Amino acid sequence: MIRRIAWPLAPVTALLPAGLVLAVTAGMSVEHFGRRPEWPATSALAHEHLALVGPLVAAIAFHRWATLARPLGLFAAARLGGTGKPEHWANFTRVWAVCAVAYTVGLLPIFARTAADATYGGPAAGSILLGYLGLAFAVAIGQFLAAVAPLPVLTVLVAVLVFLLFQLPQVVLDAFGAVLPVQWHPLAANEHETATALLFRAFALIAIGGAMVLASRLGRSPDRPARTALPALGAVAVLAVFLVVAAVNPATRVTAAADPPRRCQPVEGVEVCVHPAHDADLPDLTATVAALVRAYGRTPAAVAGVHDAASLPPGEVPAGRVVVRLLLDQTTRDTAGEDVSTAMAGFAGCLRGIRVTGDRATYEAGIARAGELARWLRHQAGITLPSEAPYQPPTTGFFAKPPDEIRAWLAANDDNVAQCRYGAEFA
Amino acid sequence: MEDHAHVIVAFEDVSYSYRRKPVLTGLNWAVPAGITGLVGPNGAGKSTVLALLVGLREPRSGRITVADTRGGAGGRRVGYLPQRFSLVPSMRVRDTVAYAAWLNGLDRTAAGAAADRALALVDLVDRADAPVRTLSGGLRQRAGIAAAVAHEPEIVVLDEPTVGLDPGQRVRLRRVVERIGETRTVVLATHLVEDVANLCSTVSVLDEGELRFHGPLTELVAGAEVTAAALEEAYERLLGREDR
Repeated sequence: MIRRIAWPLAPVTALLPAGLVLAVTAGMSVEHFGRRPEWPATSALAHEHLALVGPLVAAIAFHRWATLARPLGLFAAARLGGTGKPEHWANFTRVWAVCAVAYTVGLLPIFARTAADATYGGPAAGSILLGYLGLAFAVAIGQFLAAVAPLPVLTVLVAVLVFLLFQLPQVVLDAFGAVLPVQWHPLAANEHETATALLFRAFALIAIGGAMVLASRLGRSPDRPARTALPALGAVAVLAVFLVVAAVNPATRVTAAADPPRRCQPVEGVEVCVHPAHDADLPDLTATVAALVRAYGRTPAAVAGVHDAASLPPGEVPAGRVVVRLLLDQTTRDTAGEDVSTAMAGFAGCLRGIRVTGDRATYEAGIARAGELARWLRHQAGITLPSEAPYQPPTTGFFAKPPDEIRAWLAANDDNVAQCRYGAEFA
Repeated sequence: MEDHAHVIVAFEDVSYSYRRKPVLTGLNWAVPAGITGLVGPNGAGKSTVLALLVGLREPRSGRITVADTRGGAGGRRVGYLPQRFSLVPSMRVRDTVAYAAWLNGLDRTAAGAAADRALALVDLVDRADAPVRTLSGGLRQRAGIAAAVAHEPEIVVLDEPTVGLDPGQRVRLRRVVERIGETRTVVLATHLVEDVANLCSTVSVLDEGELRFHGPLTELVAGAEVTAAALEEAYERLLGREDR
């Protein structure tokens, strides 16, 4: 089977690339095992992994085609002949098939883990299919470059060039994101890639890649230079057309749900809500909030609710409530504790004070005191952040007082804390 | 145009120029069945004629026709061994030959069987699984010929196949060409008169893009015995007389 796919080259020319693609794909997935399994993000990995796999696949396709494209080869006459096989398509599909199988095997563990542990949604077929189209696009680039410069020694250079090409969406022009498989946009639990952007990208990849595969035909007649150059120019022209369309009329690539589902649980007077994709976090989150509210001594004025950002409409904070937005898909439960404690200590009020009054000195002092209070609250709640040294209770000053005395002060000054107005006794 | 009973390839008033420099001007040439030798000094236009014959280049004017002696069946009707060719060193001999057959229109299975037959024809069966890089110059040429004939073309075009070979290898290669010529039309470009004397029934002498002679060997040597020495003498005389 492998010999058949690698033919006419040795089986190692299929096995080695397959092994490399598998290793790189699996290696890129490793870090995602440390995150919450969410279908939008996992589905997008099918094209985001092409950041490294794409250049590798392009280099594989380049090497194979450049190897078979010896200019003085025995095959020159056959390639020009009317009955010649569509050699470029045959080699294109073989390289794609080998890489696609290896890519799939490399992605399987993270997809299996997501299938087993994700609590909401399902695989996004569009994002996944786009990954395989992107793979074909990488093969087409490699084959096209091999037809232009059939020198296997340039294989590493091709990998570097394609690597840089796939970086463009994040460093140069956003328009490139509309025509390249890699997006460099981590998807949150409530986000998805829009059908319009997916279709545009799919169409662009098919058109540009198809033009490149057609242009990669070898053995064109030296007596017909125009016929030789036109397909290559055509491929570049197709790319340019799609780039211009994407730049002039950019489609929204990612959108968040307008009314995302949420699961809420009131705890000690604070409403704690998460997106169903973060269901598993709800018990820990409610326990963290409950411990901090108990440490505070009452339901703090500064925090009426704690919401997972994915459970809120984009940019929306429920009116009349102070809500802590947690990026649960990017943060740990420990940092959730940090966010809630600093919110309880009035940190948001300090920032608002600077913004409204411009009194930077007063509110920066308030920020420092809010930080101290947050630290004390976490200590009382038994939360230690991984980045923090163990809490050493001060022997003098406000936080040297007994906890009940501090809680009594907080009860009396709850609104002041929420507004970042700390009295002299705090000093 | 000369009249031959079985014209397999016909060039009719064919002209070709390279970078505006005329290489062939109004060439009329009829290749009969059997082995035809195409001889001439370096730069005479032999490789251009062959490139036109196999379709690698296209005439600026005129017509080239190849007789269809088997009703258009199978793959391409012409097989070609260029004077200089590179092979993929890591590819096995059999795969190289089979790939050429596949490119020439056979399907994968048929290409494999065709490769085996072609390797038997050139006595390379025992090296079929060897990587091409392990072949000596003579074996490499034979592998090239196998690749040119694997799809069983009606016409086999060989451009200087014996160049660079030692005498022993040359003799063995001639035997291979002779065997091919038993069932196919062969056009053999060479500057070695020995090759022509030993293999060809017809000879064409090309010089500065013009056909100076075309006909049976006996006619070139004017009735004398066909030997390499006689041929060489006739060839020199022909070109010398024309040059003057």
